[in-house]
Amino acid sequence: MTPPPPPDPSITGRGSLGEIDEQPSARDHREGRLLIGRCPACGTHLHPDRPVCPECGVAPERVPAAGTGEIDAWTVVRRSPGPGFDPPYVVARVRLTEGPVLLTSLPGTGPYRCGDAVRHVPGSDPPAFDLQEQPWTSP
Amino acid sequence: MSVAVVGAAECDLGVTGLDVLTLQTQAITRALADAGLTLRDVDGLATNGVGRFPTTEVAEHLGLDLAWSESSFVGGSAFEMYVARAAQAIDAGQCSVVVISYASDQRSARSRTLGAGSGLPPAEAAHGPLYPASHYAMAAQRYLEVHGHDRAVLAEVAVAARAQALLNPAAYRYGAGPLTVDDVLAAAPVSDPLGVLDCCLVTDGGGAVVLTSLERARDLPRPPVVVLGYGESTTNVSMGGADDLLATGAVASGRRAFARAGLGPADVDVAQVYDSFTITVLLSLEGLGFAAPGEAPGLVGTVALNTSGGGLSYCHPGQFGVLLLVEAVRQLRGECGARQVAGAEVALAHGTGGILSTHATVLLGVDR
Repeated sequence: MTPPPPPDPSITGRGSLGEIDEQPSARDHREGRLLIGRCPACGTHLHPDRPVCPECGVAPERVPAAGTGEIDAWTVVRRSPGPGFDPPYVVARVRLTEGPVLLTSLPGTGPYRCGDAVRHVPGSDPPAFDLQEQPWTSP
Repeated sequence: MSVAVVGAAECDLGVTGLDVLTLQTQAITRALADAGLTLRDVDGLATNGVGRFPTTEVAEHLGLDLAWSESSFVGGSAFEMYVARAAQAIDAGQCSVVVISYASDQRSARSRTLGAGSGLPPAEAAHGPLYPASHYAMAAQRYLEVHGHDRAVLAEVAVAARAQALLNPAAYRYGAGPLTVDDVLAAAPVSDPLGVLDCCLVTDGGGAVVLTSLERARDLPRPPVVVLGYGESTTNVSMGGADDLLATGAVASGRRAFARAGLGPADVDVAQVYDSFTITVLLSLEGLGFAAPGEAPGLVGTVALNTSGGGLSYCHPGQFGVLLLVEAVRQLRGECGARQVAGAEVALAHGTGGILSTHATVLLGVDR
């Protein structure tokens, strides 16, 4: 196996057990980056967030994801799950290029197709995706 | 294996106006009466959905003296898991008579919601999925696209469930008349491609089964229903946590249960497969090995499946797993009247919990 690349010094590592931060920081979102966990020992990308790599027992570091992926599954939500939501809107599972699946949102109401190529919308919070063919717009 | 189910019963179903402990009491005392046993015989209890300390609350309510108790809380598959634990506890001699029970007053109490109490990570809940419907909806959408099916294959599951409910006087939709594919497709949308008729009922209800050693079972009034095998699998709690929506934990759960029983899907005469949503049935049938991927629609309406009318048309009290067991037992005893599967000797009950999160399979058979 190829050794993992050295850590990016600009990225705040998650440190040891006991110092785990639950979510990407506000700074991460302001900079528009999509961060995912990666085991510093084996290089496996870990999502959903885990306190330790199941294989190595080491706390993951947070690294920038490529921000690309494809639609694994999607649905148009037609009823509101609670205050603050205004259906219809699309919730989707996106398989990141790195491998893990992320629950996210896509614009409009589709239709989409499983397998459609998508990319992260910079600065979106919570992280949203859009079709790669779409014209790039700032949020 | 040397453990048998000797009693089975429902509590009142539908809209009861009764509280959970009253419904639990009905389920347990009716199942014990069916078994020819009394509360004094019970030394093991598995239940959940009653307060903070489920078995403790029910035991005190009924004056039970427990040598064994179990309250794993894993959604609708819990009760199939309880059969495994109970069989092991009875085989090991820790207890001799186990009641597995469940009841809910969710319809009367109007406690069911679309989004609350989901247990999803905040990062997922922020996107506004319905819980659990949107997860099953995503699985359904992928299923339809990957296999080139249209929504009618989902609708047929609801149609078949209704046809069975029309044969079951205890079913919520008994007397409601038949359902058509067009009815299902035209129903109000919930989370595409699922509409309201792709979703299970929200009712009060529950039930109980009683287990003891096969040796003792042979001296009790009802024909013993032998526990032939069991298996389970726990997969994901989040919507992004499952790698492949179409290969659920039913694959491992079923494989383990069939291996323990020394049986295969072809040996099953009647199957009770959790139907929280129409897609749940198709994915579970394929995972359990009854059909190749994408081919479960060919079984719907043609095999002995969800004979009670299922969660879609009979009763769904939040967790349906105990009622899968009740119907499986009744089919093996030949008690099902108009919906009886002639000569059924092996029954499968397969529970699913959460968002395809937990899976548990039980194989039951007549005493040979």
